[in-house]
Amino acid sequence: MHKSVLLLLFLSLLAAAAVAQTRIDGYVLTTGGDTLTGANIWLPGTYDGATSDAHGYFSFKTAEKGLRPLQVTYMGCDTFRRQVNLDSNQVTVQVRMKEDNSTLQEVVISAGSFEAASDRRRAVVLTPIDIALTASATADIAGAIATLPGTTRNGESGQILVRGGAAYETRTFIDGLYVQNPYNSSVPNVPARNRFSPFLFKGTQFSTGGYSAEYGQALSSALILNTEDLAPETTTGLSLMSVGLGLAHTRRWETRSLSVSGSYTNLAPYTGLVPQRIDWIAPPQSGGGELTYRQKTGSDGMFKIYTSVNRSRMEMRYPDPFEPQVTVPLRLQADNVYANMSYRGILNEKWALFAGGAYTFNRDVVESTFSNDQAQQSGQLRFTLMRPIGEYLKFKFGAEYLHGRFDETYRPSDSLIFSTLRNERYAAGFVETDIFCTRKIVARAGLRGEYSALLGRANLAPRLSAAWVLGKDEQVALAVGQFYQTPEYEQLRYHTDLRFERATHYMLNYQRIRDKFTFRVEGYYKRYAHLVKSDPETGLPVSRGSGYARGVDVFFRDQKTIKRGDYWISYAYLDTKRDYRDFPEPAVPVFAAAHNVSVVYKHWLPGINTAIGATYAFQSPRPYNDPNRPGFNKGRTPSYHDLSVNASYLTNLWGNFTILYVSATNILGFEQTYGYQFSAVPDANGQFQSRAIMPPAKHFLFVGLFVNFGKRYNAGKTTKDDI
Amino acid sequence: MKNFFFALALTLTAFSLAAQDSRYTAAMTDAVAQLDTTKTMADYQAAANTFSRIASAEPKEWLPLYYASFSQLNAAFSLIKQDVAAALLTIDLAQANLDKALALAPQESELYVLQAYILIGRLMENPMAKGAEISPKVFAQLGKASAMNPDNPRAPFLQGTYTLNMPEFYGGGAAKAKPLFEKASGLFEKETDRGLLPHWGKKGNAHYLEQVSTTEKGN
Repeated sequence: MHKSVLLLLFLSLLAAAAVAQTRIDGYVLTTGGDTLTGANIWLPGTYDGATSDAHGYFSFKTAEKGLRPLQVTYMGCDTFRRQVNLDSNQVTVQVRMKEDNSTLQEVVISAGSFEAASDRRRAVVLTPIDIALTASATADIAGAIATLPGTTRNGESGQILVRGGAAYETRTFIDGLYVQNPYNSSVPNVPARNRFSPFLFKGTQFSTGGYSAEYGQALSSALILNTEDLAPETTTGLSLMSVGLGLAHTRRWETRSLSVSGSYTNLAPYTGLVPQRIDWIAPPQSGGGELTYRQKTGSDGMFKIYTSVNRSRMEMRYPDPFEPQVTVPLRLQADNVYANMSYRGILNEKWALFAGGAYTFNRDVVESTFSNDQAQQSGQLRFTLMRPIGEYLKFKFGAEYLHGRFDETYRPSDSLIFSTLRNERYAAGFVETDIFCTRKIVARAGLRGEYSALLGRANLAPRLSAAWVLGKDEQVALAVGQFYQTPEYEQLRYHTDLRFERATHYMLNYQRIRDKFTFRVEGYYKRYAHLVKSDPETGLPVSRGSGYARGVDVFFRDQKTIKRGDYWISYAYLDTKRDYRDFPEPAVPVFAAAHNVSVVYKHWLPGINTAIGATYAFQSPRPYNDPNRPGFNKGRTPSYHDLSVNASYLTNLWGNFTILYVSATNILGFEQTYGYQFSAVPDANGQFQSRAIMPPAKHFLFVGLFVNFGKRYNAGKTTKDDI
Repeated sequence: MKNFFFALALTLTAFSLAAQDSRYTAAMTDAVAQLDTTKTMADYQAAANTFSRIASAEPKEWLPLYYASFSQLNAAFSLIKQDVAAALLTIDLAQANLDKALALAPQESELYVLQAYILIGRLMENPMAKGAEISPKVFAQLGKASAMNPDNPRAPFLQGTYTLNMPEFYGGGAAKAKPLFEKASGLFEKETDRGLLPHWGKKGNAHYLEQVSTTEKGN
């Protein structure tokens, strides 16, 4: 018995050895017919396999027999599986790999959108460092955005104006939540800065139109800012600036981080040293504090709180609105509280949830020959749910509710009082679907519905955009959509029987991003309807205004050609007219210029640990209304030129990482005139006297020393490897 | 008779285990030899594929996963100049293989060196923005690696190269890197034939040690 067992065993071993190995070969191609190099082809459970060569060809031998599964994997493709019969000596397999749709998100709709996200699949246009090192920006988000095409520089307001839209048509969102007062309070013709430090944000998405149905209440543009997650480490920072000082402490635990900071600024010493055009009585001063808390929950969840409080005041001699050559004392005191809380996480592996709430209180009190006390509050709640459906669809929906309150008391003289109290209850919902038609084409269709209790009206805004990948580095995108915005509270003082203002956007975009070159060009047409306009008969606001804007934006950035250098050039052509507010006829608004050019350059000098930068800006003449001449808005300012420079020197001060930052605007001393202000009544000769609107000073100089205690690193600051 | 079958079964099991083991050793020896002579991105990709195949057939071994991850990381480094997005996706694959290896051998010092190396790879995406976030993590992983095996020369070697490439005002530079290369050099000398175990870095360390020594003389 055991003899036969042994014999059998021996024979079968012999048989196995005698059988020739099977050769498996073939080509690996995509379903589209492209050859794939480097694919892994093998028989799972064995070591037998090969890698496809430059022609997609592979070949290997195996001793396995019978029906066995063959598997092929390649990054970015679905795994290929097929049963092969190994009983013959030679097996040839044609492998067709299907591209995996989860990597389709590489196709990002580029129409109307400038992304500065740290998301690797998207084109990074502006990072916080870019903002800090852009010479003309003086570390202000709005200042850096003004170097991108599609924006019009408005030195007199400091605000972002997009494609022929007024400042109020651009809305700011932090972590998806609307920010009521993104700028520090100021008075007309004294530029304001964005309230928020660029270093709070990891990603800046600047939309010049055609943006997602997720956002509303902005006719022209959405500035979407996403805050940083957990602070990287425990640090203490001190900043000493020519205009004030600040102190910040950050504590990092395993899954939580907390930052507390306070700052005080006072321009008095500075305005005392540098000649000013404004006759300051008490130069701007402000004090404030911020608190940031982050908590990681589970593997995907992040809970965030951000709060800030700020009080500021300034007092000056200000041009009398009726007789601009004469100045009268004017004082502004402003208080602002902002709180934002949000949660982002994954529910049961399918749905991604975002939920958040924000509260703002802002009060501006102006006292002069008149007085105005304006208080605004808003509370907002919103959620968004998102899930992929199969491989080809991504579905998103959400809703938001906002309660706003506007309370104003205006006293033109001691005996007159005008009070306005407006309460808004606004609700909106949206649905949006991304459809991945092929690996090369993605379309996004969205619908947003809004209701305003203040207007007693509802609207429905459809939006559609699509991108088509032409090649590895280039794509074409288009977007069309409708955008609604409730008229500003200031327009609703007299009555609230107005419609939503409406804009319809059409845009076509071409983009090429290769290595460290970015080139994009975008043409657009925007039509306005139902803008608030004063009825020529009664002077009361009616929703009968209209307008259009069309133009071309060009952007080129090169981070490669010049070693340690980085530059971008943007050009925007704008043709716009509107008939709104007190316009007697369709005209170019004062804030629009036909040509805007920015050239931004940054360079790193490793020998002296210094980053230097320069920005040149040009703007063609802007209109102003000259009552001494016939027609409306027919006057033209001189062209605007500016050359700003900055330098950041990195060093260690008593072993603590320190940055010395210096910046200066308009170093060549160009005469910069934003417009003219005219008397309300003519003089004895029948002439209206005027006064030029110019920057508060010819140059703005800024010097700051930023010390990070006990640290060799500073969050997000520069290293020599880049710039 | 029963005893005979039992003995036969035992012998056969032992035999097949030995065969399995020698097959594994042979395949790994070939693959590691192949990896030691890689030059191009395609070589690294082929090596990564080979190690992935071995890893899938030997789900209990951490070493093929380690080498698959190491090869993918090196492929990513050669890819980064031409296609950043593809390089970063490759780094994701390297991380996934390392995670599997860490689950099998959480006490293996080499895996923490590789983790630090992968983090350095991630830095390539945007050194300026990511440096502050990633640097402390790199040092933490290398610290863990040295704590688990103080004789691992690759921990001080990697720390040395990272320090060398870091700006001086961040605490980097040749002077700070030199003692790390010296320490690594001593440990590399002590390291005897590692066989299949990770053994890279000796040449690179000698090269950098010479470089920082001449820099010092130049100053």
